[in-house]
Amino acid sequence: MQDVQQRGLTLFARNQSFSRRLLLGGAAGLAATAALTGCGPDDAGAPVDLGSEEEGNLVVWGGVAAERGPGALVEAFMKKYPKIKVDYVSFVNNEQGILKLDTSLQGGVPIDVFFSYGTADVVRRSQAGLALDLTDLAAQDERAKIFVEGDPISTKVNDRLYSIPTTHYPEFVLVNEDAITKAGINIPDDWTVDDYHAIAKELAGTGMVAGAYNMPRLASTTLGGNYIYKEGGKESNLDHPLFRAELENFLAMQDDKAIFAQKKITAEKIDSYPQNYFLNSSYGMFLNGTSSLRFVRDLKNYPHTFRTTFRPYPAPTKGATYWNPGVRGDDIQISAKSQYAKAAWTFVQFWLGEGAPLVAPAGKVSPFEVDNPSEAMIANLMGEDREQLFDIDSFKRVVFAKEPKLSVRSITTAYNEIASLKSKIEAQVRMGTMPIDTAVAEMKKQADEAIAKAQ
Amino acid sequence: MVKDAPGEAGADRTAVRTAPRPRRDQHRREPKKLVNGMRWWVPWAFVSPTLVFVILLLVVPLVSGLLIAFTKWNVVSGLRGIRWIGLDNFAELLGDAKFWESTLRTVLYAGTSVPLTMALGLVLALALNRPQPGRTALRVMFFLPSLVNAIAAGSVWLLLLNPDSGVLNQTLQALGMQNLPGWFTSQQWALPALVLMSIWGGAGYLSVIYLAALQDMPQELYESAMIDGAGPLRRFTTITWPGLVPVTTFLVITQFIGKSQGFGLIAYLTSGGPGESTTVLSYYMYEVGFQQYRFGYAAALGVMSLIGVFVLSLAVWKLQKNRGLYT
Repeated sequence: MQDVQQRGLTLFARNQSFSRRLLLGGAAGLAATAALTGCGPDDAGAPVDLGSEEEGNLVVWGGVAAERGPGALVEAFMKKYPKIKVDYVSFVNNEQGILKLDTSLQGGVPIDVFFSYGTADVVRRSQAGLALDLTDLAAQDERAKIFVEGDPISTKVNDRLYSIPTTHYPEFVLVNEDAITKAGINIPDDWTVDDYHAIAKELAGTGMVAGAYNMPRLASTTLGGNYIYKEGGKESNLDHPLFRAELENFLAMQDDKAIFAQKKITAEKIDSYPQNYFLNSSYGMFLNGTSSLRFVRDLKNYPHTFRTTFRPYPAPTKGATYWNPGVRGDDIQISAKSQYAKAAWTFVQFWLGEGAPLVAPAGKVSPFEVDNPSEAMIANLMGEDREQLFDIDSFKRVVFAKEPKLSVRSITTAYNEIASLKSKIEAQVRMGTMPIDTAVAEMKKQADEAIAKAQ
Repeated sequence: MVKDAPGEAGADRTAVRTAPRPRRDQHRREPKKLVNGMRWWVPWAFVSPTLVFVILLLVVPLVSGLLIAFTKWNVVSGLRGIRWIGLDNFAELLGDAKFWESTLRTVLYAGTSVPLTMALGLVLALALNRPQPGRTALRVMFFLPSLVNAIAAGSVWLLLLNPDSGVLNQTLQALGMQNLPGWFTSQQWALPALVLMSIWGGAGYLSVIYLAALQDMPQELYESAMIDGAGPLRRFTTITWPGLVPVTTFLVITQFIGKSQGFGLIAYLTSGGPGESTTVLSYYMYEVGFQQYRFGYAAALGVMSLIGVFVLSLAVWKLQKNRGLYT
């Protein structure tokens, strides 16, 4: 290097001219170097921890806006740990936002703690070495040890824990209580998909646009988290008869207005804001999770007078053991490049513990509050008008129930692609532009191709 | 090129062959060559700030994209995760039905919306070029769509083209039409709906460009033609249109590039659907990159798109050469 510099100085000292070729060659070389290094530095081993359990500077990236809870949590954390400074950065959890976080983590943007939403994201980031292995830390933690003991109840990568779920997110049915009361309909907790269909049809007959927005699934509830795979993920399972039965159910329910017609959903882009139609009583039953509560409690933007009651996810068949297709999600991870890993773990523990009720306004229920839900969490989750707006007893009964268990996904090969193609083909069937036989064959073929390409 | 002065360099060359000079003489340089009275590197020094930006923002991404097209890479694995796979992405691409289908859709979309938008833009420009009351207001009105935020415009079109409650279908129904188009809900009509939107959004802008070109036309040609008895159609085909060839060429190329890269509205309005009916090449590239994290393959799609647009641009340019009034 010194030699190169010396040569350069000699060149200038001799007052020699640069040739055009030399200049352009240099520019091209610069471009190629920048092209090759533009993606940021590679890992160079675990960084030295510059802080401690009670001291450090943390940057936290999460997908929830600060004003919906994380801001209050960070404030409470810094009050308890005054020597740990936390900057919370919210990113939009869509495809662009997810890639932004990925490239930031890879490119060395200072991020200490981040959230991954969905198994595919957790696995991708963990496998790429972007997240710290939390297995040993979790094993020593009173709360987090449930994720490393016994059968997996959250995402693991190569049998190691790189992420800890911060939410318990079962799917359930929000029901317009006034509508069913007026129609004289009683919905039991141990209902089935057929019951759901019949009740939705009955509700549609009361003058609503449709009885329900969406349809309970058969395959995911019967087969569990890896329902779209067989042979350990080497082949898709979309030729399973339950997927055909789902498509038949879609058409049957659409035909008798038990659910919204796909044509209407597409024309009005209802899938972007289905809660609007629930809260203006266009339909009476909405399969969703706790994230929808923030709309129900928001009377200013979603004025409505009815009370919302809750029912469990309908069973595929009467009396069968089944899975709730919801998840333990919103996984928190520590960056492998964090220079304050100890302080980051303190922050993770705070989020899982005393900080958890503070993010409830965003519809987040901590997995550690399921056994003993606090009133503070319920109040933050449902707002000031909760008695008027919600049937709280049914909520507690449904959301904190031990059964059905939440499914756990462990295979993610081409998951996003399969989910996307499956959804597109389902929409075509519902539009009446593709027969079920063709749809099933096409789903299976395309999913297998996607898996083959991803391997 | 500076020629050697007679009896100077020639004599020296003979001298060199017969009696080599001392080594230090070899460093003696010719007088500096000047370009426009400056050393050759002085103009480069002036353009170097711009050059740096061009290299960083254009050359580097282009070279990176080209290199990535020959790799298997998911971004999150960093540089360590890049695997050089040669032409495998391109080989896969040739057998990828979705690639060919999305290319065909891109050609259909751009191939219909560009000429229709330009034709309407030209008609508007010709109409607005004549003196008439309210001409300025009309020009502003036609130009307005190109100022409207694309997503806001898309939302309005979503309402207008609602198959049941949309104004367009209700009007068609009132006129007695049966089997009304499903627009964004129909695989047959979703792409035509996007073409319709594209024409609406682009014609006003093109009319302004054409208007500027029309106003630059030499009036004496029209006067001579009128003296010779040429009618309006004759004047258009022999004077106006040949005069517009250069600007038309420019518009065809830039519009086709723009339309073939059209993505935002498709992502917002249809997400490539219903089915795959609006999955054009740019949207397919987005799906492969952002949803499947196959950035090598997405880059290969980008390279193919670049080649396609380049070939088309070259063809249009060659085609127009010597056909315009001033070319």
